[in-house]
Amino acid sequence: MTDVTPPEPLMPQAEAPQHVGGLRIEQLDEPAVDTVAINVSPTALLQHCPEVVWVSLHDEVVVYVTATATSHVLNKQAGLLWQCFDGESRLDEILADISDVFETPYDVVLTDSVPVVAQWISDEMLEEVDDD
Amino acid sequence: MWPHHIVVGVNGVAISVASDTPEIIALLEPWRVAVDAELVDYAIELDPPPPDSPRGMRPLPRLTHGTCDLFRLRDPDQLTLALMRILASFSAPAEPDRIRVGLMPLVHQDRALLVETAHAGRISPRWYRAHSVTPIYGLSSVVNVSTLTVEIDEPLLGGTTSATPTSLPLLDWWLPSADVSLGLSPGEAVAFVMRLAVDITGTNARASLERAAQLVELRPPQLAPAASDHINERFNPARAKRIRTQITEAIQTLFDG
Repeated sequence: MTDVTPPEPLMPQAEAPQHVGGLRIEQLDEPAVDTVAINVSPTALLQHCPEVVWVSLHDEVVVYVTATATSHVLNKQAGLLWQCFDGESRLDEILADISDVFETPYDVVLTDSVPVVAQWISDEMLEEVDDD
Repeated sequence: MWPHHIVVGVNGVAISVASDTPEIIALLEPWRVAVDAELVDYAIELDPPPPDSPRGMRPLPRLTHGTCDLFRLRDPDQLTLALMRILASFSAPAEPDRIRVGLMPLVHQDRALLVETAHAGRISPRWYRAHSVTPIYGLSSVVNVSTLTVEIDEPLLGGTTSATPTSLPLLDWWLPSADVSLGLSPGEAVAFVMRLAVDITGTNARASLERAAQLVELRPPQLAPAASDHINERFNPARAKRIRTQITEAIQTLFDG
């Protein structure tokens, strides 16, 4: 299992959106400045944190974290990725599906997505499922 | 600093209120709770001391929240009513189909425009009277998203001193534009509403988010007509006047339109 560590420090996606091969994954609001680097395994099993609620509106998804009383606005692609975390599919499976749908190389999707996923974990939006 | 003080309990929330007059405390006696409070949540000064200098302007009665001035009004009854309305807003969480947002209603011909308190407080009561606009001074309003109406809080003591109906069609609502230089996407507008929303808990968060989205969908918000550059405004009275003019013109246009 290879750990993929996002660039340190994580760049706010609003300033440096991931935009390759027609796939653009970004969180529209400004992420926390003091983001802690989080290792995200491509085979991680992730789910929405229990204190998170979200709603789809047009092409966007708004995620509200009750624990921190913060909202996060996700664009179409980030919203799609967000909705895939069901606690049953592994990250690499989800990214492979997205790679197929957007006809974008898997490595590009992985590179684009991992910092965003790491940010979501840092922002208490996603948590790893204990699948032992 | 304040000679009179009381802690009231409204819907399980202890709120500390101070005043320069005993009358306000007497009004609130029925809600007194035996809780110590070191800090004052709301303070109302109905009879401010005259200025030190004989040529100085006499300060207006004021209502404060913490260290922040909410309203300065010549009419002490209006100020008292605002305090009672704010206290009443703690009385019950928003019911189904409703969301409480940190905006206050301006009413004209039985239609409501929701604006930030700071915006509304910047306009003089004289202008409101001259244009038949009734400001319902307070910190928040309940919006029924299924009927697109604004439900006006009854003051804590019950009964209003104005003839304002308690439920009014929502004409429009303005989001504070201080930190928004461009337009808002629908998702960003929802996020903004959630920042303005009051009383969000773990149990009602999903419903509140859905109502916020519904509100944005059915009645997209407008950005308030001028950025609130408070520092610049303080040092630049001409700019402050321009901002007031922009706001009042926008309100007038909206109600006339």
